[in-house]
Amino acid sequence: MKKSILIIAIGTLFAASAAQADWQDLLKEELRKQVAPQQTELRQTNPGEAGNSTSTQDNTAATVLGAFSKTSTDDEIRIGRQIAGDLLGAAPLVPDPKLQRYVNEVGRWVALQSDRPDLPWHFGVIDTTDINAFAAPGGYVFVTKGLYQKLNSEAELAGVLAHEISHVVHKDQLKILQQTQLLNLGAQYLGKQAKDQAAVQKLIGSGAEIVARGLDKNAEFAADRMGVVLAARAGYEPYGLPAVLEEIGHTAPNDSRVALLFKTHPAPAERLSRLGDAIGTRFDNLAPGKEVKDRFYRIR
Amino acid sequence: MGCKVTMRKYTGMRLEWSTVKEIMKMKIRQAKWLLLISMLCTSLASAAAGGVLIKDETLYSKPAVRSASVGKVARGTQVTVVTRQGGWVEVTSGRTRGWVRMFSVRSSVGGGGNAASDLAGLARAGQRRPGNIVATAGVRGLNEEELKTAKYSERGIQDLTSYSVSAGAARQFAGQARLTRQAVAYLPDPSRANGANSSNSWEVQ
Repeated sequence: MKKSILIIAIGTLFAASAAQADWQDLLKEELRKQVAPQQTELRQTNPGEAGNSTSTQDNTAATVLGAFSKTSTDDEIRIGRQIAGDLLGAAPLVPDPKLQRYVNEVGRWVALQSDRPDLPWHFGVIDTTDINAFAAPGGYVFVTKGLYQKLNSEAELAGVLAHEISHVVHKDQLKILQQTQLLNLGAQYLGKQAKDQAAVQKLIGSGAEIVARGLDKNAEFAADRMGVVLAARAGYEPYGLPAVLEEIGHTAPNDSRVALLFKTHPAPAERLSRLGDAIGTRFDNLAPGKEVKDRFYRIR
Repeated sequence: MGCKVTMRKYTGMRLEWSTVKEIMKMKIRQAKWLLLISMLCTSLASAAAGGVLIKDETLYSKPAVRSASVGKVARGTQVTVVTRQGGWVEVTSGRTRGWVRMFSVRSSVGGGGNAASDLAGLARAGQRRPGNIVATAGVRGLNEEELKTAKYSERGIQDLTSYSVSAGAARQFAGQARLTRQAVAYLPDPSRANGANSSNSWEVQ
């Protein structure tokens, strides 16, 4: 589910190495202004020193991580929208309005159970035989037609969407952006320059390549754990996601349709094992959820 | 390989090219049948998938821990998965039949997959098929190059936005299927389990 994965890498930006020192100084200023209280503790940075860029030790992952914790929701959505638009440039929506509407209904209902119910959530099924799902910041979630066709019930769809929703809630893609030096440039672009589309595109790299990069394994396991909970909260039986993982696990590893998914995610067997450990007996007393097979929308 | 054998067999005869071609055609037809038969077998087998226990488990008479125990299955036991219900799968092992937690069974050959992946599953299970049968030719997926060169689609974003659903509409949609909210706590990360993560740190509210 899959999946869902964002990072950035832009060699060209690094090429401007002459300017990099300045960029970094500016970034540090931005960081000091933006760092959230918890990050301030982490860094022992006094916000009153904002603007003082003399410290050379600040360019650590911890500091950089602080930057996006204060990325505004508007910026987040702007970044996600650009990634979503690029992805749709590579694989358009399946031309089936009923399908797209249905996926939005299920997805929105599941997202309402999350800690970010009010994001402008968008869900779509993209027209590719690949088996995968993607999330982009700000509430953009995509499932490929190849994956959708493997689903057997609304509960399974809910499970897949819930995994992606969890990435958005955890801001996993933004964290990946931060962990690269590119964020330095990104923060600058978004903070100092006109927040135009070109600037956002520079932040996310070339086209939609960002979705071809993997997240941290633990981010995937965490999204699996949160995914089953969100589906259960929505009233679905929580085992839709693991059932889909099981199904994906049966796909031949050399099948090109899962190449990207398997490259960017831990093996389904490992995910199932971790998820099984996390669930243990914890769901034993849950009211049985619904599978909702009867109204599950099948692609023609 | 089959063709080589055939030709050797006919070496003593005056061999005309047309004959060789006929023989090869015959072999290809045979191979097609073999493939078809193996696909049929696989699809039949997929109705009841194989699996192996990855931990010692109790078999229950129903998909619930409160149901009667019908026996024990040890880790490594080969089972046949009959069906799944919620977090449970019904399995058979020899003459024993019962329900076990789905996460305790690792299934081997897939059910419900397409022929190509089922065949590949067979290959993994040790029954190697001749040649590369994974039928992915002509399948167009999302490769990294395509993603990299993708151009932003404003039209795509507009379409996407047109399908979005309000919170109210989503609630109504849920109500139509009688989906109701459940209070379910987040699952702790088991890899960080350390005493504090006891069973009462989680509760159904």
